[in-house]
Amino acid sequence: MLSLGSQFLVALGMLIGILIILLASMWLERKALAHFQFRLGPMRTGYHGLLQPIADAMKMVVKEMSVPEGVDVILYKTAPFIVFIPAFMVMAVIPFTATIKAADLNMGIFYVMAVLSISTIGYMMAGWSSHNKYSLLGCMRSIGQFVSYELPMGLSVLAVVMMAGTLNLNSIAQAQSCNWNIFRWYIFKQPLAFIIFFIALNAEICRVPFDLPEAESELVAGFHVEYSGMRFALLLMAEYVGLFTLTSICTTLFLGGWYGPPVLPGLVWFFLKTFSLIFILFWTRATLPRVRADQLMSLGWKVLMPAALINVVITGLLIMLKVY
Amino acid sequence: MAIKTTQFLNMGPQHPSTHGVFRMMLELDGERVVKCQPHLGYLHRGLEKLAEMRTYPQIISLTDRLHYANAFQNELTYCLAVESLLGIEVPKRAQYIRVMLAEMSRMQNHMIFFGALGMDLGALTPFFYSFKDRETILDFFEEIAGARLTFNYLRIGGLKEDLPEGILERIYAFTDQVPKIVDEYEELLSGNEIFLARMKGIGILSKELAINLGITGPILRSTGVAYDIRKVEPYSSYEDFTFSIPVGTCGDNFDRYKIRMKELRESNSIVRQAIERMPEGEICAKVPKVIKIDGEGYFRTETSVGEQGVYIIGKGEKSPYRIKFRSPAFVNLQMLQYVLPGGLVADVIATFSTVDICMGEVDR
Amino acid sequence: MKDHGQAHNSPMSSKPKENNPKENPKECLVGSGKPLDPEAIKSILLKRFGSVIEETQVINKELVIWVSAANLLEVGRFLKDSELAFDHPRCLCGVDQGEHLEVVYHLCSISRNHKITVKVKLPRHMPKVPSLYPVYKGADWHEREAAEMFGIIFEGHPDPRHLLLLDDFQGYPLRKDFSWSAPE
Repeated sequence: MLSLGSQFLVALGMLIGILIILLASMWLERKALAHFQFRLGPMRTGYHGLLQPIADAMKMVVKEMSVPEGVDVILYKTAPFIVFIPAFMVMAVIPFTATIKAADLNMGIFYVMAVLSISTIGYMMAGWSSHNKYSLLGCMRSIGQFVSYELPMGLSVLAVVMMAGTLNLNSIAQAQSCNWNIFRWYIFKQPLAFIIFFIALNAEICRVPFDLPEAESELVAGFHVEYSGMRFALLLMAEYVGLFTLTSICTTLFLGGWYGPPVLPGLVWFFLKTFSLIFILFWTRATLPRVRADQLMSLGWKVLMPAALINVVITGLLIMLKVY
Repeated sequence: MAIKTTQFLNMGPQHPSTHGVFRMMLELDGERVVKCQPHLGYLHRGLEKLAEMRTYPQIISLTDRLHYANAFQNELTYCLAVESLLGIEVPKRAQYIRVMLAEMSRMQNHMIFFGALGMDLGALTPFFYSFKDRETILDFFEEIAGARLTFNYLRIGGLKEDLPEGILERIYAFTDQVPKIVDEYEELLSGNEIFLARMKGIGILSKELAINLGITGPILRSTGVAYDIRKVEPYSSYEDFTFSIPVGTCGDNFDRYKIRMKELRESNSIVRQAIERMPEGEICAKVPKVIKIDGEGYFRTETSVGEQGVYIIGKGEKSPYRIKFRSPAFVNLQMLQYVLPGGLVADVIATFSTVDICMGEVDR
Repeated sequence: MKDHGQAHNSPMSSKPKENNPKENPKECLVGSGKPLDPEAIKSILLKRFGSVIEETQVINKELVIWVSAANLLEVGRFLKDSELAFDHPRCLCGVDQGEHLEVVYHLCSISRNHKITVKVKLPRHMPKVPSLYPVYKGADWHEREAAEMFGIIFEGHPDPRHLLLLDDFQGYPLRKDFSWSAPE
């Protein structure tokens, strides 16, 4: 057990680290999207706009946090934290390498699923308390979306857990340890689970084509339409933190975590894999239109859910038959 | 006591996808639309009243302000109306240049439509694809007329001035690219599974209702009515060109989208034909110094939105006694009340986007 | 201009779609009916209505008829449902003719491709006319616009609110006697 002081230092290090990752992924998204669309993206602040996210963050911090008339003040003010903190808490169990990790929980992936569901409440609070019909519709959509995509997500994780025989994220990664034989990664043994997990992940962090709770062209900004300043920044940050944490979980579960051909150090492998996944998400965003609420539901319940269940059954059978 | 289960959602006039300042009151049951009540007038400038105080040539600049993407076509409608009332025969070269410009502006209007549709459906990239290409057309316009949106280039009897040296070759070179450009657009959206799910079978407008509402343009044609004023009542030498009229089958959102994409190709072929057969000669007919009209007439053309009509009553004065702009978007917009109920909020946006309006034209 | 010849000679000047011969305009119409000339329309209308048609005139190869407000709905129904098949309301506008107001209906037939203009004269002090909404749904917004701009009362219109102007706007802007000064 670490002493209180060093625990604090670890937490601080994580916070600074995540902020850097957050700013980096924001910059990366803007640049990637821009280049997909014949644009350059931010170019003025720093080399190729490297400082743009920092400038944006500064702007957010100094902006007025307006509280519109008629909102439920307590809910309205706490909602951004309820959304942000769980997304950040997930960071605690992500094993960046065998040694670099904040906590080594035995029920790591269970903790992740549990903590992630908390933010749903935050979305609902934000949408409900804003006293705005667009945000109300947005939060209605977000709850439906989160609830229906957590199930296939959990079931796809279950298949991996069954194979690894542990809930500990560290051990799951170690079960995929490899040198050159990257076919030990679970993505090759569980391709269906990976696809389901990746789609559900996309829906959980509300990105195109599943960005219905925000749906700029329909609901203006959805559940955060009335937020400004730092509170808005928290909601935005929660989205990017969620983007990073969930793709890291995906890396750990399916892409062998920090393991890779021994030409690069483990940490580099980890970030390479994670940012490749993030890049795929940006790519999707640049390509696809948004689905409709009922289409989203039918995809979740009629396609992903049965597929995940079948996948669990098949995995069980294969384990029973000692194929895996 | 009955429990009210519906709520009203006020969409617009400031909303990212109401294409300007359109406002509609949606009565929602959950996310399902029960009733839609459009509200207009946020951009009403009283163009008809203003026109009554201007001389006939001055009104050309007002018609530019009807629709920012159709300015050439609106100028053309007005000029043709005045010319037919005065009995002026426009030189062939001017007619061909007018056709070329009208079709180029139809192309760029459909490009805007494509980009805005993608934007409204949540896909950002189509917007940049189409605006990049639209920019090329606007550059040509700028070179020809000196302005990018409000040209004031057509004159009663012809054109303000001849085309700049060598521009026809460059436009022709551009038209070579257009089929590839449209292929690229269609690759981006047309086959996309999500896009099809959002568009097919949504916002279906029946043929009978469309005709009864007076709807014209691509929306009427999407319902299966091959009605195009360029064919029915050819004006400005449209009878010289070969082009086909794309017709839809069921009048849903996808048909409306598909027809515009096809029209983009057709317009391109008209531009090519116009350049290939561009006659030499005068660009402006002999027009009296002071234009005075005695009489009345309704003249119509096919703009990219639909039938643009101009009804002029002149009483021998320098300015018209009464002028009415029958704008296609104004009439087409009426379909929303009939088409939207029963759909979801997301369908409202998709359907509204395929109506392709410009509030400047609706409110005048 | 030199580019005329070049465009022809350039290898890129591929011919426009040859497989698309010049279409007959009538082919692209829905119905099979032939367009009638103004005189034929006039004779059909006069046969059916007689003196209800107050006055007729042919302007720019287009028939213009005047009917009274009382008979408008009947004439409108006939125009739409009879073999004349004026199914498409093109335009509707109000005109201030000085001593009287006028409503001008431009109708056309998509199936037969002919046109007609119907005019109704209305007294200035009591400009009442039946709404054509029951016949042509497209008259809806046009009538609302004419109502607010000219003060014409369209009886039986389902939604007689202001369309373009403010709800509490006073006066009728497109009338010639409209005063530009703000109301007291």
